[in-house]
Amino acid sequence: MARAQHPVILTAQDLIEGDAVWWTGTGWSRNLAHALVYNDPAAADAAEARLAAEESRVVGVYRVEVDPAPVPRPILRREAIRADGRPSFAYRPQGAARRAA
Amino acid sequence: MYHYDDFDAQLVRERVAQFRDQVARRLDGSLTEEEFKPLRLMNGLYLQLHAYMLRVAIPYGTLNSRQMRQLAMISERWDRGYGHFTTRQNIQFNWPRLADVPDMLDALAEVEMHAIQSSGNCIRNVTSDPFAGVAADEIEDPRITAELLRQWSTLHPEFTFLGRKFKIAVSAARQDRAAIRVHDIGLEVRRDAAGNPGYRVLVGGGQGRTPMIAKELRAFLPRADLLAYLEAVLRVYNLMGRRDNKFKARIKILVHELGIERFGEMVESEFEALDRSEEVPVAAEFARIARHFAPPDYPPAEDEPEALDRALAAHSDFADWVARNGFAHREPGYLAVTVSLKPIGGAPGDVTAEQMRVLAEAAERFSLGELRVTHEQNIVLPHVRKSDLFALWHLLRGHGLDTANRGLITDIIACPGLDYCALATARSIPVAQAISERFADPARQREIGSLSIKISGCINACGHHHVGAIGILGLDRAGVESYQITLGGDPANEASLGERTGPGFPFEQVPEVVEQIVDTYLALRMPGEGFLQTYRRVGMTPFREALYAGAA
Ligand code: SF4
Repeated sequence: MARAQHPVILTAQDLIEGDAVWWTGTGWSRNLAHALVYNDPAAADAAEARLAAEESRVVGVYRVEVDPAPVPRPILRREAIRADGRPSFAYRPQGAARRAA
Repeated sequence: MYHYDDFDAQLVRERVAQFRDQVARRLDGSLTEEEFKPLRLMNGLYLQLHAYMLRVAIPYGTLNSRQMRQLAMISERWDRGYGHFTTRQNIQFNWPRLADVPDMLDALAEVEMHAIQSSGNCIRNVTSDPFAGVAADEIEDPRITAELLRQWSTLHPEFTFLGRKFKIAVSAARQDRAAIRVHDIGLEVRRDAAGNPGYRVLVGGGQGRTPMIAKELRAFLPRADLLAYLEAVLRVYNLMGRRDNKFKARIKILVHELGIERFGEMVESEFEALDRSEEVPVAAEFARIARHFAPPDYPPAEDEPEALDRALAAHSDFADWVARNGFAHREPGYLAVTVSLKPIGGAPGDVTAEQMRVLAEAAERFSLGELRVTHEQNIVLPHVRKSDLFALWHLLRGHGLDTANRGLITDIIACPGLDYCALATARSIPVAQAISERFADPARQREIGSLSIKISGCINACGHHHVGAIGILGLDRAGVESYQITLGGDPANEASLGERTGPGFPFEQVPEVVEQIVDTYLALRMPGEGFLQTYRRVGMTPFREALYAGAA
């Protein structure tokens, strides 16, 4: 592959809430800053395969390329919007919201 | 409107109970995601970019006040206090928790609603004309046929696992307001020379990756044959359709590959061979359902109330709104009114719980309790007394629901796109917002006149971009959003697919590009011409020149 390789982090969606969670090396976190950054593609592959095989509280494990410092920031717009956990515009109409975080 | 009989009610309750059990088994780990996914999809539950999404069916877009209030309650109790009306006349909730979904479905069942058949490879929500029962050019209420088909297709054993999703639309008017030419099957209610009711049957239309305009399969099908004939169509599709390739599995590809003549011959021979001894007689079923769609008892209403004339004269905003958003009603003294869900800079089709309650109240006080969802992502109050228009406008105005832009350039259709949808390749709502801001001036909008902009965030075309006068398709080009523009699309009687202008444009440039297209049109239009007429007369060249001048 000609393209420059970025470091990656591993993500999935929480089974109950459906929101994005990040692999910290020991568990899943909602805090992107806690994501474990893999610089070694082989290590990321191995972890992704292992986590995908044991999915139970999460759904759909996959990898996201990031700019690692100071906190990991996804390169692609899709992943950046997903990491923000909300649409890219002031989406929630005024006055709405019980479960809004 | 249609009310559940005991069978419907029981069926829906059973499905909710079954799904509650499936969710419990998923949560305790006895079902894997692979096992669970098809089950949740059968109940309208998707997993999107940020969260689960529940798509609720609104058959042929008809709702009553009570149902709208319940949708408001559901959005507040289990979601984030708003909902999104879609181009399929459905509503989507964007933030439910998996564990809450069975309760949401129970709350829907309380008001005779559900999420069955809103996803998966089955016959989806049958759509129709939002002005059904209102329009003067209508032969009969198309929702009777739509409901007949809904009942026939609901859990039809043979058609629950089709090669792909299957969409049917029904129109009963001269003017097609249900986009029947871009559906898998489009039905147009007709009468033969003797006055007998039946259907013109169109097949193989659709949008998505390979857009096609439907072709005529039968110029006239007697009503008694409707269900048997559709069964024959679906059988041929089930036998011959390409299950090997998802992108080729729609009936439009089969019709295209076989040719409409060959496809028609196969349908006719299948139809002739059908054993119809057990068939439910269509006429009796139709008559039973038709009773639910009998015209309401219209309270007497003055056709030209004096108070209305005074209000129109005194309030130009009100007059603009009535002129733009009103639709002639065949009952004297009444008007159907479109409530635009496209405020300047808003997310097309989004409404808050509070607005849903206002819409419910508006329907109750001013529209005999009824509402319609349109495929343009607006709401219609079908039966408003002219003498109530001013009071209605006041009520709506207090809640941001008085935008006078039906059919204008800011009445934009947009799919959820990259902000919500897991399949998206680009944003669509922010594009709509930027264009809407750019053309915010009401006088400018009126000068431009009717012009539809339709935006999709990927090739699946949920935003109907192929049939937008200006269509916008967001793609991903090596990690950067690129917007492909098409011109000349039309979903109605003269259905046509938009033609590409040329290379795509970056996100930031799209409003400017639309402005150039509009300026070109305004410079070229003849008196009385609409955008599509001008485009059809002058062709693509002047637009291309305007957009790509200096780009060589
Ligand atoms: S067109 Fe694409 S991005 Fe838009 S809602 Fe459909 S699948 Fe999602």
